[in-house]
Amino acid sequence: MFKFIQLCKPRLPRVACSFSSSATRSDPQTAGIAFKFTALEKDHSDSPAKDSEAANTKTRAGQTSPGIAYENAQYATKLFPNKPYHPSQLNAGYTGKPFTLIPRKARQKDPFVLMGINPLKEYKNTLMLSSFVTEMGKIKPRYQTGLSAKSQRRVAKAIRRARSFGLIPVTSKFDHEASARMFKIR
Amino acid sequence: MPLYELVCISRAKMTQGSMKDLLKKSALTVLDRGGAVRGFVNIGREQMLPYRMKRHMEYHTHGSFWLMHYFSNPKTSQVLLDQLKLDARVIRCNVVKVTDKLSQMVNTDESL
Repeated sequence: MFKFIQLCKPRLPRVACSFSSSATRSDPQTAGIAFKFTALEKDHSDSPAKDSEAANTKTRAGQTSPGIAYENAQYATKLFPNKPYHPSQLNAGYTGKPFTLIPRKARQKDPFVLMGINPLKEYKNTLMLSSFVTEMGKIKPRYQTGLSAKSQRRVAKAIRRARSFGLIPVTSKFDHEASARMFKIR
Repeated sequence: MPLYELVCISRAKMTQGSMKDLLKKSALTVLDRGGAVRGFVNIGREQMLPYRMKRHMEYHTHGSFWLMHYFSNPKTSQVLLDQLKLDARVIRCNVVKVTDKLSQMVNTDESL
C-alpha cells in the first residue's frame, strides 16, 4: 500500500495553493475563494524549446504568479486547477484514506488489559459482546475496536463461542431491550 | 478435578416438575460418577432464542437458559453431554472448562 503511494508521483509540477480573500473582488470569474497557484519546483517554463508539458502547465495554470511560495507550502493540500473537488476534500485534515491505522500503542488503552479481564471468560456477557459487533452481527475489526491484538483475538473467539452456544444472534446485534421486555412480561 | 460449566438451553414450555427433573438428572449424572455439583444458575426462563434452532425433529423459537457448575473428570463431562443431547427437553447444551487451578476454583484466603 505504501509502495504504491511512493511510486505515484504527480505528473504536474507541485503547486502550493493559497486561499486569498483579497483577490475575490478583483476576479469576477472565481467569485468566492480565489486560488493562487505558485510553483514549488523549479520553473522550467523559461526554456520554451524543452517539454511541451511544461508549456501546457503554464497555460493550464493560467494566472500563476512566479516567485513567492508561501511559508508552509510543503504541507499544503495539493489542489489542481480544472479538477472537480468534493467539499470534504478541502478540509484541513483530509488525507484521502478511509481510516488511520492504529499506532502500536493499543495495549496501553485496551480496557481488558487495564482491568485485567480475560474476554474469553465473558462469553456469556451478551451486553459486553454486543459492543464489539456491528448492527449486522459481524465482529468489528481491530481498527474500529482499538483493542490490542491479543484482546481482539479473544473477543472474537468469545463472540464465536456465544453464537455457537445460542446466546447471541449471528446476523444481528442482541437486542437487550426486547429481551428485557420479555423478561418483565414473564 | 477441573471445574466445568454446562451452558444449557432447554425447552420453554415445560412444567416446573419437568424442569426440576431435568436439573436433577444432570446433577445425578455427575454425582454418581464421583463428581461434585457446585450449583445452578438461571440466566433466563422462556426467553426468545437469538435464532431459530432445530432439535429432536422440531423447530424452537423460545427456550430457558441455565448453567450448572460442577467438578468432575473429563470422561464424566463427556457422558453428561451425551446424555443431555439425547434428552428431548434439551435444545442445546455445551460444556466449557472454567479452570484447572485450585486457586481459581476456591477461595484460598486463610483469614476466612
